[in-house]
Amino acid sequence: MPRRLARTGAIGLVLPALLLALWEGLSRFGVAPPNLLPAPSAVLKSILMLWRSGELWGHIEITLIRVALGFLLGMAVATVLGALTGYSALWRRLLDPFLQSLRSIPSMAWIPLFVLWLGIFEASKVTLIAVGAFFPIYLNTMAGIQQVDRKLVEVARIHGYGGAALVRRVLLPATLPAYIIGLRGGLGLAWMFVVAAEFMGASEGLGFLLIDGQQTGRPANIIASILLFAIFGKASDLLLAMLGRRFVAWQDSFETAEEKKAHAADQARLQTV
Amino acid sequence: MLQIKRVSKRFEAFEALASVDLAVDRGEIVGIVGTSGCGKSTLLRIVAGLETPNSGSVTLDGVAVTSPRPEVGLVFQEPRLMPWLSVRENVEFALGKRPRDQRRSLAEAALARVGLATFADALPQQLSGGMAQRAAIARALVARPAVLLLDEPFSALDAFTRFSLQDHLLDIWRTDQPTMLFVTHDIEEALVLSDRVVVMHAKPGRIHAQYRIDLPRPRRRTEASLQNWKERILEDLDLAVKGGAAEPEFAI
Repeated sequence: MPRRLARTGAIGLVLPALLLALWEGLSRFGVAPPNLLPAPSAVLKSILMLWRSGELWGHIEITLIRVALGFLLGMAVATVLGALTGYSALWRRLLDPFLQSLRSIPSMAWIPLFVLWLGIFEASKVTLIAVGAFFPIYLNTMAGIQQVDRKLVEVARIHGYGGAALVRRVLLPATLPAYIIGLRGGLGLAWMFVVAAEFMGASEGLGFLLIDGQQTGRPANIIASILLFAIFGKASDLLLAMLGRRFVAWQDSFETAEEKKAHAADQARLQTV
Repeated sequence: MLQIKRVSKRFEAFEALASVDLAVDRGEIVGIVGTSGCGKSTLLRIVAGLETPNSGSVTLDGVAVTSPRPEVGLVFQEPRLMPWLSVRENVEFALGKRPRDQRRSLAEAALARVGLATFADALPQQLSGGMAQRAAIARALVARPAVLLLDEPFSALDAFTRFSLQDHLLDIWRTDQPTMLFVTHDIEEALVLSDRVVVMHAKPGRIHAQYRIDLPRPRRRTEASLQNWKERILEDLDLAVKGGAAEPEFAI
């Protein structure tokens, strides 16, 4: 199994490697204009330069902090509200229609309001990211709890479990797979929203580096930031997925269910942004 | 003694049970057969405390049963094991707040009795259907309930597994002698296991006839006298003659 995974994992690298080689070749032979599409080697060089100047780590650090804070804030609120609406029909009828209508507001529309309320510094950025992370986590938590097998709940009732014991012994473990999928979706959106947040007037961060590269005509910096977003986004998702797998190793079809839901989450993401 | 008195239950317009009376002696094995919709499962769920009757009462040794009780164990049609718990943890689940050592040793003993000692650490997904149902039986029995209810416990299994689990259940019954009330739509199963077979009719759900099967156990499935019972019950259920759709007029 690990060998097969390694093989399928490695096969995913073939296409990017070929494209990189093609790209490098086109740049070398002057087909691609360097002021629009700098060669991969030039991008790498600019990353190294930014790193050596000590500037790069500052940008990465502040972006990571914003993502982490926004994600944690969104997660905390989404977990509580998702648990409430999943567990109780009354809370669902009370809260869910309102929250669903908020979901249809495009993320960018929040920016002026958050800036007005919270200023142009960290608070408004973190809040925007939290809003992004909120919905997938909220929706999956609610659905996860609602979809808990009533037959298992009945088994718990037969053996005298109720209230907190029922939540801890049955509802929580049964909801965990959906919750983890929600967390991964939320983290993905947190990474998207951090770019939007850093576009709205930041002086640091990977999003700032992106804008700065455009305004100062340094395409290598733009591509470098995009690359770094991809790397950190993927790395954080991988971390979360690995953590999640530890908790839900019992699940028969976790892999396939996860892929299906990830696809659904992608679709949802397209609609949100 | 388990006493069911004039129990009625309706789900909106559907009359699931209409004034059902049934008394089951301590240690007695009673099998309930009936076509679908006759309320046999509902009756079992009421005795388990999972449903509340609209009228009538269920008492166990004089105490009213209104919610699930530790003295009453229930085996469902499906194993219903928690997929995130190991087989042993699933059995321990029935022991609630007892000390960990005690839970562990009781669960292991219960698993040994159903022949699953070596699978204690496996996850439910690794078990076959018959093994999973044995684990469910171990879970229902581990707290030594005075009454064991079984809701079509073997109906999802193939014939060979079903036979061996029926024998198995009788082995277990011999040591603890719990009162057993089980629902089945396999008449042969009811005849092989029960001291008494109760035939139920639908619309509204009610007891139509009862037969005392006073043959020693274990019984051979091919035993001639069982065939006579079988024929009578099939007639009761209106299944003996093809096309016979007339409602029998008598009741006990």
